[in-house]
Amino acid sequence: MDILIENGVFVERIKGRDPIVINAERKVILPGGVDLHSHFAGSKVTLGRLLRPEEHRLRHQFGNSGNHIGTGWATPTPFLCGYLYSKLGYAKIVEPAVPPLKARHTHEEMRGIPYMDKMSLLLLGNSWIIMDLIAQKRLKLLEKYVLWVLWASKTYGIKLVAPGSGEAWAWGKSITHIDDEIPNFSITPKDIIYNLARVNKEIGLKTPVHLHTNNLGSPGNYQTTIDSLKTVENLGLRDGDSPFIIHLVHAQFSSYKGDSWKTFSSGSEEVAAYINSNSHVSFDLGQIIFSNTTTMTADGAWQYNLYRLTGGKWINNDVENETASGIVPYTFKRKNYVNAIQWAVGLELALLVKDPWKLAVTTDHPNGGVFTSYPVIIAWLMNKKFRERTIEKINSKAKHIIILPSIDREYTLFETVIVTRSAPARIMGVKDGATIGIGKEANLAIYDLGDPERDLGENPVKLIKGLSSANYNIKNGLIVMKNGVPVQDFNGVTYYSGGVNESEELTELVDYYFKEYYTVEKENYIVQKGEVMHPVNVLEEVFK
Amino acid sequence: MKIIVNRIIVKATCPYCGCLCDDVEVTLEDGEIYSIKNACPLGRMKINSATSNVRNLKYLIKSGNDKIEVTVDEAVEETANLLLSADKPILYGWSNTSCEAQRLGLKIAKILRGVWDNTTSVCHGTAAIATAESGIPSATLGEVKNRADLIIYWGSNPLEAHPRHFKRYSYYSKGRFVSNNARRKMIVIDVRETSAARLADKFIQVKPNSDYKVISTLHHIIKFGEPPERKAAEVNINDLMEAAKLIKEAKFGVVFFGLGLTMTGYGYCNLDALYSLIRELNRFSKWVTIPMRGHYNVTGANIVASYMTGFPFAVDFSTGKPYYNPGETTIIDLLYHNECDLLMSVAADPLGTLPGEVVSKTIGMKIIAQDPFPTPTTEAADIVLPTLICGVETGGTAYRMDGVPIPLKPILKSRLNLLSDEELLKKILERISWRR
Repeated sequence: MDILIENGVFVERIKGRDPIVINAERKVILPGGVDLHSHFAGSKVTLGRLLRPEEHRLRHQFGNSGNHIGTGWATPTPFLCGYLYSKLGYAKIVEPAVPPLKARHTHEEMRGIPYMDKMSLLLLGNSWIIMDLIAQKRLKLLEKYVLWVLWASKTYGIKLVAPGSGEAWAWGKSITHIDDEIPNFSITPKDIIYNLARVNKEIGLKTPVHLHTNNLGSPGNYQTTIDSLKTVENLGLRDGDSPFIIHLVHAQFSSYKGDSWKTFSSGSEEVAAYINSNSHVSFDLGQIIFSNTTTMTADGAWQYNLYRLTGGKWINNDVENETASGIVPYTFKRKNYVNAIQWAVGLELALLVKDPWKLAVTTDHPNGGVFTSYPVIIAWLMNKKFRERTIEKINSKAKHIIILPSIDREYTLFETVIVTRSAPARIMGVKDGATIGIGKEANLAIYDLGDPERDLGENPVKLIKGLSSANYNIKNGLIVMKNGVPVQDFNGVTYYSGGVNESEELTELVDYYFKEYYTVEKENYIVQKGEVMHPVNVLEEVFK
Repeated sequence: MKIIVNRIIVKATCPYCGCLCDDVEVTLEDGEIYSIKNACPLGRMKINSATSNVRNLKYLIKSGNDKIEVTVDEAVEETANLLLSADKPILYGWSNTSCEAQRLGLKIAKILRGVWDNTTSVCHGTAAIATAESGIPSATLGEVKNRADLIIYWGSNPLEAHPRHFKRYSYYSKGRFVSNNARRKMIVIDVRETSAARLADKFIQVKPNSDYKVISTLHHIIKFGEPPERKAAEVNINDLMEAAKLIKEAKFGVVFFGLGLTMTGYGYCNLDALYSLIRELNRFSKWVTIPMRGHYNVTGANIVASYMTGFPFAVDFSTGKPYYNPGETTIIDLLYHNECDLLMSVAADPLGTLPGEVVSKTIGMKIIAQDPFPTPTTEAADIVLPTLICGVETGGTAYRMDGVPIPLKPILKSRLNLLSDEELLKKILERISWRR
């Protein structure tokens, strides 16, 4: 069978002469990968670099040819980031935590990431304007503001990180229950989750609200997670490709039972059962990999806890009126009881949730581990024996209480394609970019995974090796990478949403916050299209 | 008789200090500056310098004891010649120009296998080293404006160096939870009674180079409620006890630190101790610390270098890959040990600002100086590359002292037929890439 590509799309027949022919016999041809949650650009990533020069001494994975500079492991430089993703066979990546005030920084770094199409999610879960509007019940204006701020920051969708907790952390406090009132704002985290999920549906964003739950990382948080998901049950489904109303990010970190680190255990069965019996939730794994990494999140209070647990380095960087953030280096250890359970929870979720279209493989890069580990996760999912080999090496107390050994399910190759390509693309509303079909964007990765007649999961070492380095990565019909070597320069597009609403009420609202509370002028807050690499707005630019 | 004047108001971002005030308004009359609103005297001076006669106007190349005027292309060609024939060039400066220019500088240094260092090396570099050591609890300036009820300035005098810092971001600013400065308290810690100290609720005078001991003593008092048994710091203990009381009462506190901490005795240990104190204070309430960065885009230089190479300053590409080791790859050490044979200065004045012992080592070195203004460096240079004033005559991006990116805007069209730093460096990069 031939796959024909011309002018960046799949076609039925080629009109031009002398096409390039690639012999992909006995190779596996997949659509380009989609990573819907990976912290690869922006302020906190650069602070992570500043925190850990040692990490940039360790790794020089890239040849550093010409004026390309590549260093780093958990926080690779933009060029190296694009190169590594492309080598892995990916085509689209999503930076999931942009503080609106620093969106310009994120775009500045994203401009330097070659080969990939990029999207980014805007941190709105602790925004003063949003919390005030909810408290004042000015919900129509809330819709207009969300559209405006997405447009102003040239970002794609809404991200809520521990809603309300960031505001509490600005006073050194945290919120542990989604029904607790946020200090100085007469609303609760639940109000934020509900209202922004509703707004998201109303204004027709292409991806659901992405939720990083309150209490993330803490023992017993599975209940908070289920309560948060229940909050939006009655909103129905969304129109368009992505029907989900809420996307639970790095679900692994939000699926724990127990009431202390000693009684810490897996809550994957409960969370998976909820997801199986409800159709409004999608999620990604946030699988941990046993290794050293640099954790970074807008959940400032949690990062402070993690710093107190590790006693190591800690960066905190709160952004006025908008969000908190923190950075802590961390090592996930096989012999650590909690880490071993965390490892099992991620895989349990992936194996217990029946419908692969509801989930995407991530490590919450770099929080659970680096994205280059994805092939290892695929091998764990496809091969029970391979899982058992890891289980043998983990903490012995943990070994006996996890349910992972009792799960027999093994992913088929087809299912792994869904969870690394089709499902994340569908959740992000860019399904056509990860489909091999006439007229669709030609993004392809070609892998050598051994004899395709045999069960590819059988030999995990071969599988990991094959998936780690695509023979070809074809982006928009161009061969950009061949056997791990860049073939030509290529910059993908940057998708964004939102629009300017011609409304006096909105102008008055926004101007007030800039005059009273922000320390920059409104016009300097707005990221111009010229500052974005190949901007593409997926919504209308102007609303009336 | 009716005089018709063509007056327009343009919004500007002030390209002077790390405050990067973006509310400046310049009124232009027939393209010339008529008045400047919202700028401090320092910013006003910088913006007015566009009309100053004290500018580098011509591309100059040294010939014998004289400098001869050449075209831009000849100057670029000669710059490329010198850079390509250098064994280990150092490209230094970068804090008074845009991020776009900084990025190009890094690429040039990379291709040449040279060194890229910026003025952080001689100002807040120790703070970057301490951050790598233990991390920094920080926030953007708006958090201070809206929440801070206790503000500490340590080793910095904002009234002289960052004149609008008080009003825009700290003591005199109005915020959501702190409506006026009656609700804020201020402590100033310095070696002399500065103008800011006279406004403070508490001024603590410390002996020069004793800050490390004072921070440690304060930390001890806060942790244990009493000073350490052995009197370590030569400072009034009662002062510190009172300060500790104010500190423990605060709901949201901030320490702004300046060169008085970063470039005095004990170097980065001062900052390590400060960050450690701030971490401790977060057990009681909310505390952050923010550096008082000097040049308007020195923060941008660190950010750009960090994301491009993984390192904030002093990046040595001589092995073909980025390598960073302050004390070895910093400009002072490289020049002092005669390790570089060419110095290219961009938007800085190393010969006017580095220690004399180091400057004397540049005799005999090839020097290229790119700057809008004449300086000791342009005076000594083999090649002088005049440019437009970034933030006044051309735009770009810069980062404020707290890491908030703000666009720089061209306020007026220059009367000079010159290129911006970015345009000139692009030409040099193209020339070098093509020649290699």
